[in-house]
Amino acid sequence: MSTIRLDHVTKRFAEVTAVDDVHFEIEDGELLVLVGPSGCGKTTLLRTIAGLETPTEGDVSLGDRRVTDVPARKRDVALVFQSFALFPHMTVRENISFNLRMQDNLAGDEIDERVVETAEMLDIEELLDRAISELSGGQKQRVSLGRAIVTNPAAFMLDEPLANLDANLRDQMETEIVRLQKRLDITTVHVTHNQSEAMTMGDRIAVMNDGQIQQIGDPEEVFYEPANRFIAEFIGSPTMNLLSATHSRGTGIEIDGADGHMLTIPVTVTAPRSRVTVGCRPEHVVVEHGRVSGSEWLTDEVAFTEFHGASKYLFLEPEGLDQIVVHVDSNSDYEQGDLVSVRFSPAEVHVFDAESGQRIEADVPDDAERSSEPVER
Amino acid sequence: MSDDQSYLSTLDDIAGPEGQPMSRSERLYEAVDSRLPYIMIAPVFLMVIGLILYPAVWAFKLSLYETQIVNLDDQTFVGLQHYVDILTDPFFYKIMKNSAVFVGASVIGQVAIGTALAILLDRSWLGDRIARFFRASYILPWATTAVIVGYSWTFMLNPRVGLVNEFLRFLGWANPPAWINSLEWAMAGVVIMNIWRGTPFSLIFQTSGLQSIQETLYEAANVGGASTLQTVRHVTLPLLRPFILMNLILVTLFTFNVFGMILVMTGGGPLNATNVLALYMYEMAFDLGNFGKASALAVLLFGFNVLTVAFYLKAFGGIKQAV
Amino acid sequence: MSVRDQLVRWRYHWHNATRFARDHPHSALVRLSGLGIMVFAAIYFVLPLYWLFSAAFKAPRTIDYPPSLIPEAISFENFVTIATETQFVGQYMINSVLVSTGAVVIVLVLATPAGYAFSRYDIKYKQYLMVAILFVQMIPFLAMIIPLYRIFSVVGLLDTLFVITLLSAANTTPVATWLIKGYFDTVPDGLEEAARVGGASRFQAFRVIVPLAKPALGAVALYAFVGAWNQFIIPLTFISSQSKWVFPVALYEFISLRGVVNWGLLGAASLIAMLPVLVLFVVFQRQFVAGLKGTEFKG
Repeated sequence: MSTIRLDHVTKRFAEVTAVDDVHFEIEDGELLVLVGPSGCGKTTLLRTIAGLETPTEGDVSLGDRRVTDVPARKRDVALVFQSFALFPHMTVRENISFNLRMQDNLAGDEIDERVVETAEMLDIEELLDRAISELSGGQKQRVSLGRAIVTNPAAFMLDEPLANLDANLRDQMETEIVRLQKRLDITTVHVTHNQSEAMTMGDRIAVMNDGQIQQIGDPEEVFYEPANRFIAEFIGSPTMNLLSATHSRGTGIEIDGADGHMLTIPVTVTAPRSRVTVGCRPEHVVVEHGRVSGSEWLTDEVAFTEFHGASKYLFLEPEGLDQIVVHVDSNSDYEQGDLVSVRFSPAEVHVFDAESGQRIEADVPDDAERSSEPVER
Repeated sequence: MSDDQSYLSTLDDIAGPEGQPMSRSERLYEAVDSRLPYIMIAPVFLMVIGLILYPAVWAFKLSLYETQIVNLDDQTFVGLQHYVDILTDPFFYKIMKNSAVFVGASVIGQVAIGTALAILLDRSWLGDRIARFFRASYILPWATTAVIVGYSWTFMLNPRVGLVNEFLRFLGWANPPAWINSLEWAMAGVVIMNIWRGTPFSLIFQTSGLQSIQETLYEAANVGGASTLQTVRHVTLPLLRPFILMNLILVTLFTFNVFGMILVMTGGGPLNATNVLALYMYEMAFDLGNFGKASALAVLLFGFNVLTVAFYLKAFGGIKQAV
Repeated sequence: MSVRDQLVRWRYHWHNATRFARDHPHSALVRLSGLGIMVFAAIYFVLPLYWLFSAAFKAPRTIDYPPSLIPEAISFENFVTIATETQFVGQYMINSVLVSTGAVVIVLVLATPAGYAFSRYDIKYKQYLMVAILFVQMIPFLAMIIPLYRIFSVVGLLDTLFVITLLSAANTTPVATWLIKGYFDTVPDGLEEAARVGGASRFQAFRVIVPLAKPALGAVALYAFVGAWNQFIIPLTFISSQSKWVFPVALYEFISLRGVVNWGLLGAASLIAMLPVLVLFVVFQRQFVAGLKGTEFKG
């Protein structure tokens, strides 16, 4: 058990900077999910923690121990690979016991005991004498988890372990990994490109892009208070509605459409910026049938709808503006071609600087109601 | 490509694009084109059959006749007489013993050194440039003709002016072996030469084997706490097993047939101390002119080849391991 | 890069290496012994050729006890003798080049379409045929010499360069077919399916795809060239007239005739005989490796 501290870690490959000045700490027993688009440097960062890459600059510490120059095999870190990386010439038992057998000081009995114990925990004890080629994808996944945890490592690294599994199995393994992690109370870093997996599994999420950590926080924080435009777009499905707008102290935020259409949101921001990007998740867009008058409302036809089981999404394509997606219950009677009015709930609006994309804190009027259940903070 | 079966159709089935009948030359072109796969592989098979298979069958037939080089048409059927002669001749067993020592030592040396060097060159721990330099120097012997191999090692092992003995004297061995002039050491000299020539093949063969091992398996071993030597022993070597088996089979087959270098270096001497089956057969045919008996020796050599392959496959457990 | 930069780089690497050795003495020991083995092996593999070739540059009669690794004075006398008194820089070279080039042409012409067909078409009993052409290589080459000798003497082709060319090619063709098939397997099917849908015949589609296999064909050509260049027993057996000797036979006969070996002259002749291969080897080292590896010449 130990914390993992990354101290201004940078990793460069020739011309490419894969990890750029990453600086944060992973707490003891925490499950941190590193999430980001492919090529953002998350796997490199994970491999740096595991010791398979040496940082160009900065330090990695495990607990009180500075391990920057310690080779992977002496770090006491376990790693689960996307490809599972099971040794094809060994049985399940031999694979799971491999890491134990590499330590010279363990007796055969003890190794056997721990392998069986681990296999029971993962519910694979009846597979122990099978060959790797006889296993299904999910079984391989369990074996590779088993090989990682059998040594009781100080930290546990998972490199997109669910990417090779089919959807149903993935949901099941998500739950299982979290349960295993809580039970072992082991500091864990889980890498994924799948934002919904990150939200489901993580105690905290670290969003990465272009080698830099964009935001670290618990899933709610990242979802409800994205630190910049990139995160706002990356987290949440379907993605947040983002529209360019003008801000003034007096009226708040105004979104200009074509033919003089103007959508006003009664929100002011502290900084006197005039050009901003305003974002609102489909869940937080308020919708009414027909035409509703008032400068806060935008009226348009539903261009098309998308059915998603419990929910339904309405797509508006107002002239001169970007597409607006609205979330409604799937049993509501909005149909393609209906005339609807929408407004952005002021308490749920995100404002970003138009140039830097950084979040700007908004002053919400006291009487502004929240459209959905309030967020616990 | 499993696109169509049209190459099985006949001339008359083929119509033009719009269903119109085609001209004669068009039809001929189509007919050839539709049989192209077989036309493409035919020449290789003609060559293999004409220059390898047919002569081999003929060799078997020749082994049952008495034929001398002076008059090839004068053949007398003698049945298995040649085989009886060979197998009852104590000299043949001396040759077989030499062959066993030569092939055994060469194969073990070659495959072991080749595999070791391939593992050392793998995974660029030295940097690409240095690795490329070493690899080039290891492969050089492969590009050398048997004649130069034979002479350069004759020079190296020369008891008086040779570098090897000069080195041994430097190490404090006052009377180093006379190598190819010595009954005890001549075979050792021939083996050292053959390993020199044959190792590049094993090296390259094992290099391709190493490339089939996924990088993540090494990483898994590394993260799992295995040291370099443990990784080689528990991961690399077991995964190389099928390649080592295949390499052993191929090198054994090659080595049974090696005699050019020996012909150049010792001519089989001194007193037949380095005479092996292949060389004996060549001398039987072209020095003594006894084609019939030489053919019988060739058939026996083929028999040993087959036995060797069978032995390896049994020892390593099945053909599946090899492919 | 200037000398100074180079020195700075070396110092950097040295510094790195010593730091590594201090931090990880055990690993450093393993690495050092690895490097030691590699250096020793390099000496074993290079020294015999180096020594024979270096003898060529020593003045006649300076090769004696004790052996010296570096000639005291460079002398070209041996080369002059070889060039003026023998046919090494003349007929033998022409013969060797003719035979090797001819073998390359035959191998490429036969193995390219065959390898392609094996990779691309459904051929009946494909697996068996592929294994069969490799299996015949198990038949000892020696067993074939006598019947081939008879065949060629009947046809009247004994003692011609054509026979050695043909037999050298026959030696290489099976492996070449496998290598080329393996390479075509890595070229996506889509390309000539597109050509076929676009109206190309099988043969036209083949011609569209062949240029993509250039790396493989190059490796096979090198392999066939060196293989033919180094043939010794085949020409020794099937060639009797001196005007048709190729290098290996000429070297062998050159020494056999003299009885006493003159190392300087032998070194000079060997160097001349091996020079083309050495040049090819240095220039195309990577392709050599790739060619033998088979599947690995994708780049």
